[in-house]
Amino acid sequence: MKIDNDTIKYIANLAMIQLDKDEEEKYAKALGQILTYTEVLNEINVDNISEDSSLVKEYNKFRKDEIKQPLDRDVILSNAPDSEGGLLKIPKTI
Amino acid sequence: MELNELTIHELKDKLNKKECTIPEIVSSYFKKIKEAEPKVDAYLTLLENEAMDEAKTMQEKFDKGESTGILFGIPIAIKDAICTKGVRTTSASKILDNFISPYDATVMEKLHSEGAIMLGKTNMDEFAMGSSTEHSAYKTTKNPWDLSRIPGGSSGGSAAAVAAGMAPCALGSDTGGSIRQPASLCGIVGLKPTYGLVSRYGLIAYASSFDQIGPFTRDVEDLAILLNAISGHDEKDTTSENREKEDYTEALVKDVKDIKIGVPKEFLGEGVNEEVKEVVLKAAKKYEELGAKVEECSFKVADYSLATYYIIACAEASSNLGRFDGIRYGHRASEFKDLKELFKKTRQEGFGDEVKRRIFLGTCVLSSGYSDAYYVKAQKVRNLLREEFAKQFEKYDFLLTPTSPTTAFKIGEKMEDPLEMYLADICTVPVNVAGVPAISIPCGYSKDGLPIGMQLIGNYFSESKMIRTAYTYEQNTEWHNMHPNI
Repeated sequence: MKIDNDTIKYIANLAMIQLDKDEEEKYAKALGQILTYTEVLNEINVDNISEDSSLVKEYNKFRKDEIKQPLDRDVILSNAPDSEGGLLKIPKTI
Repeated sequence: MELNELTIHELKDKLNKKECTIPEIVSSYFKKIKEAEPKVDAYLTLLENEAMDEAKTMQEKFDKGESTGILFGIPIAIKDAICTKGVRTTSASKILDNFISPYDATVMEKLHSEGAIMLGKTNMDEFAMGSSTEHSAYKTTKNPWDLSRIPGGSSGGSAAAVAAGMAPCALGSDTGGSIRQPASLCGIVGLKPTYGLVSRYGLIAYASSFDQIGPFTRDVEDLAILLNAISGHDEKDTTSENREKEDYTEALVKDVKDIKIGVPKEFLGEGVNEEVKEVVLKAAKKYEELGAKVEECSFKVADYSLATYYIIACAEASSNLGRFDGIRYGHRASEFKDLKELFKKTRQEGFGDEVKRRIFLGTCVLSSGYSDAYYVKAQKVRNLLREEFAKQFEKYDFLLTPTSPTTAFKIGEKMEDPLEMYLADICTVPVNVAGVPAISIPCGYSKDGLPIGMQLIGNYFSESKMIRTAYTYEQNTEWHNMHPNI
C-alpha cells in the first residue's frame, strides 16, 4: 500500500509527533513499504478465527485493598521537567 | 584464569571455599571493563563506586556467616529498559535522558534480595526496537568477536558485556527475539521465558503482550540459577502467572532419551545462511546421537508471523509510548506556544527514527479505516499461530531452529532498509507471538569465527525440560568454553 504525504501528516498528528516537511516523504515511504509487506496476511483465510488473542484468560485478578507506602512526592517531582509548589507545571490549557 | 572469566557457579564455589573475596570479584570485572569497554561500548551507565561499596558490606556479612541468597556477591549487568531505583534509566532514548527511576522493577528487588550486585546499565536499541543496538540514541555496541559487527539486539549491550567477560550474567528483555538473537550472535546462552513466568513490573513497556524479561549467561547451569532468582508471581503484574515455583537447577541432568525434537523445514529455507543451516543440522544430529528422537517437520504459518508481530507490537507500542509527553518526567521541548505543541515537539525531539516509524505504523493500523484490515486480522492470525504451536507440541517436546538466519552482520549493513532489519528476527518472532518459551545456546562457529546459536522452542512453562535438553547438548560439546579474545 502506498502512503502519501497527506496520510503521513494525518498519522503523525494522531501520534502527536511533529513532522518537518522534509521528513514526510521518508516516513511515508517506510510506512508504505512495511504495510505492503504485511499484506502477506491477505493470503490466509481467518473467517472463523476469534480476534481475542489474550493469553491471560483470567480477566479480573483481585487483591486486598491495603495501604502501602507510596513513592515520595519530591522524588517523583525531581524527574519532572517543570514543577511548582509540589505540583507538575504545564502551559495554560484554557 | 581471571575471576571475570568464570561462571556464576564457579564464582560461588570459589567464594564458598574462601579462595576469593566479593570485592576481588567485583574489581576483576571493573578491571576488564576498563580494558574492553572502550572497544565494545556495552554499558550506558557504570556503577563502580556503588558496586565496590556493596561488595565490601557483603564481604563483611559473608565473613560473619550472614550470607543469604543464591546470587550472594555475584555481579550482574542490567538492560537499561529495566527500572533501577536511584539509577539513571533511559531505555537508550533521549526522551528519558535525565530519568532517575524512583523505584525498582520487581526483578531488581528479587536480585537484591538474592544478593546480586549491579555493575551497570547496558546499551540497547531505543525502547528495545531493533536487532542490532544501532538504534540506541547514545552509541552502537560492538560484537566482542568482531568489532566491525553488531552484537545483535535489542539487548545487545547485555549480551556483549557477558561475552566479553565484563559481567558474568545479565538481564535483557525479549519482545521479538531481543534476548535470543544477541545471545546467539555473541556466543552465549539466553532465554525468553514463557509469557507470565517473570514479572514485567518496572520494565519500560514496548509491546506488553509480547515483552518478557530474561537471563543471559555463559552456560546453562548459570541460566538455571538466574532464572530461579527472577521468576515467580508478582501481584504488581497481573499477567504474571500464580503457579508453584520450580527449582530449575534440579533440571541440570544429562539425559534426552525421552525427548522428541521436531526440526521445522520452514526455518531452514530461503534467507537462512548455508553455514548456519549446516551447523544447526549438525546439532540436530548430535541430539540424535545423545538419544533424542529427532525428525523433520513442517510449521505451516511461519511465513505470516513477522507481519503479525510488526502489526500488533507496533500497535501496542504506539499506545505504550503515549506516556512520553514531557509532563511528568523525561525531556520537554524548550519552545512551544501551547500544550499540543509541547507534546508534538517534545516527541519529535525525544524519539529516534525507528521509534517514530513504529509509532506511525502502530497508529496507522489502529486508525479508523485500517484497523479491520490490519490489526484485527493480525490478532486472528496470532491465534492461528498459537494453534499451530499447540499442534506441534502434541508431537514434539521442542522445535529446533536457528536463532538467527545469519551470523552477526556488519555495522551499518541494514540501517538503510528497515524491512531488512526486521527480517533478522524471522526465527525468533513466532515464539513471542505465541507467548511460549525459547532458549538460544551456542552450537558452532562460522568459517570466519563468528558464533552460531540454535533455538529450542518449547510449550508453555516447559523451562525445566528445556534447561535439561539444552544442558545435555552443552555438556556434550565444547562451544560454551569458547570466548572472544578481547
